[in-house]
Amino acid sequence: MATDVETRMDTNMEAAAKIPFKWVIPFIVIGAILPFFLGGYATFQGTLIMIYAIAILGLNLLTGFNGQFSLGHSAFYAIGAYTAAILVYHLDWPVYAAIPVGGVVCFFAGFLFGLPALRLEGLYLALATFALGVSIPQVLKSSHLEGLTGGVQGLDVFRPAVPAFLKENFGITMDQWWYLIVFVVMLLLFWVAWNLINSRTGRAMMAIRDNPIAAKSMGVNSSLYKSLTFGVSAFYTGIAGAMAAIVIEFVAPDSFTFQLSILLFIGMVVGGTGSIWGAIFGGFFILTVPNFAEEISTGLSYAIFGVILILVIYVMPSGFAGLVNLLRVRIKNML
Amino acid sequence: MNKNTDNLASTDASASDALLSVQDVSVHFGGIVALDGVSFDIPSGQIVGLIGPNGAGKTTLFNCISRLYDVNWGDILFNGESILKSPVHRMSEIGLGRTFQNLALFSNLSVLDNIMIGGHSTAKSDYISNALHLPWIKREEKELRKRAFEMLRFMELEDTALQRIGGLSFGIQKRLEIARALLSRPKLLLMDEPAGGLNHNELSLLVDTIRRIRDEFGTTVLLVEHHMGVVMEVSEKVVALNFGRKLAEGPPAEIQQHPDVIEAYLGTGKK
Repeated sequence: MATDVETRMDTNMEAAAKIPFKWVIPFIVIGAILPFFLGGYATFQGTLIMIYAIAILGLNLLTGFNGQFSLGHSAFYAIGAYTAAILVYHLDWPVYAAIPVGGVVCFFAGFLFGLPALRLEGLYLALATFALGVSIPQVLKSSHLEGLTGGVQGLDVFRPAVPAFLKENFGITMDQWWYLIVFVVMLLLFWVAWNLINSRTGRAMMAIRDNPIAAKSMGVNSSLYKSLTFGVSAFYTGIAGAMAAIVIEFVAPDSFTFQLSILLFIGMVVGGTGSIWGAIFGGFFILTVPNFAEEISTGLSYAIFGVILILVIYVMPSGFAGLVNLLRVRIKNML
Repeated sequence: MNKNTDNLASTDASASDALLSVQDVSVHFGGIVALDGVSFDIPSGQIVGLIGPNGAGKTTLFNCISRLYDVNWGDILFNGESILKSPVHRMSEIGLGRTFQNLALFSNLSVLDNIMIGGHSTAKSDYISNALHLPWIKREEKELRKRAFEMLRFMELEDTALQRIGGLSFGIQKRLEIARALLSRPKLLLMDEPAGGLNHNELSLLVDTIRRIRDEFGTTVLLVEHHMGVVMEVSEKVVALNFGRKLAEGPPAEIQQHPDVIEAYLGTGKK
């Protein structure tokens, strides 16, 4: 009897925090071959969905897992995008090197913003990040920075050609090439997020979210984890912004308005707050649904988007990830 | 009872090696004096009860010891060193663990994760090694998980390991809080009203648990408690507070007979 309990426990101990490969491997295979079946435009859309998914995952690490609100992630997206664009446009950096630098710059920006944010809780933090989000487009347009940012006109970024051997041997197009790059980066960042969440660090992040006083009493250095998480969240969003700048081949201040922050927030909630893979659905939602609403009626597109949003939240109160979990449990119980 | 008096005799002789020493501590909130020059020692290895009517300052004192409140005057020594300069999150590392009066578990996490957070200060993996899942992380996680399971077994709660906190009864959640606090291997366990809201069976289990914690882990225990039956049964020394001042300090039998304590609880009508 006792041995039975113990073996069960040992298997539980081993089973904890393992990547569910039976779901992940088919996903990777399908994701990798998809651009070879889709047209150029659909592949490009798929690339944007993945970029949004990375940004949403960044926001989710901060809000969903650590309990800090941000309505200013468009700012980090912009900083990532402009860092990459400036490096490529002014300094002729290779685009592949500009992407990680965009992320690292955002890490420091996020970490520094996270320090004063330690004193702000809940709604007040939402207001402070809101201020950050609305100020960035103006800063980018300002005449003092025009030489660097290109002002209202923005900057053009040109992508280098697809590596010759891939182009000649496999006929890979520019859209397919960048789809695959973004896909690999996304997988890497999802893997890192998974590692974080299922570790001592992730437990500390979630403990702070659930009960900050108890977390501190358990020895969690809440200030350190909160500001580092702010940095990591901004890093994700910055990487997404940098890749967006290069994939779209253009940056301009009005691509990074406060509305983008709200879209990322919506993507997070719809995908599932506190879910890692839900971010992909969130990215899909915020890219396709506004376009869909626009197709129905240009004049009333926001109203239609709002109605769809309410319906979605009604059907999936804990996001797409929550719905899938619920269905999985139901099916398991039926069998 | 015999054992209790033995312990007392030995500790009175060696008051200087107190594990925790509260020295002339005063706390004011605005114009209200919550604690007024309170001093007492907690000898290593003892179970000490802190009692007093509502508003006596018990929880305030408790929160000072776990560094959630700052003291305005006086000092608190742990292992002979002042803790008043250290931040809250250092307390667990130096050996001060605590439970909360109202449940303070991490409600969205599993029981196992809750317990493992209790051992946060006993592990050291950092943000980057965790993000990249470096090989040595695995060992640390395994070790921590193993200790968490052992602690759940000690508290007879191993079956709850993979459940979520939300679905568990109040009594079980209270026990989980104790398990969580113990995972940091505290030298001193602060228990804030551990008996509050428990039924008769759970109360006798609690008394037994507190004794086992002291006997098996050598942990010193300070409990704030309203339930007189529990305090008098389990404590070897009792400190009574009223209106922020210490009324009396001594073995339970003595405190129960102490005129000031009786007056504080029942009132005499004279005054």
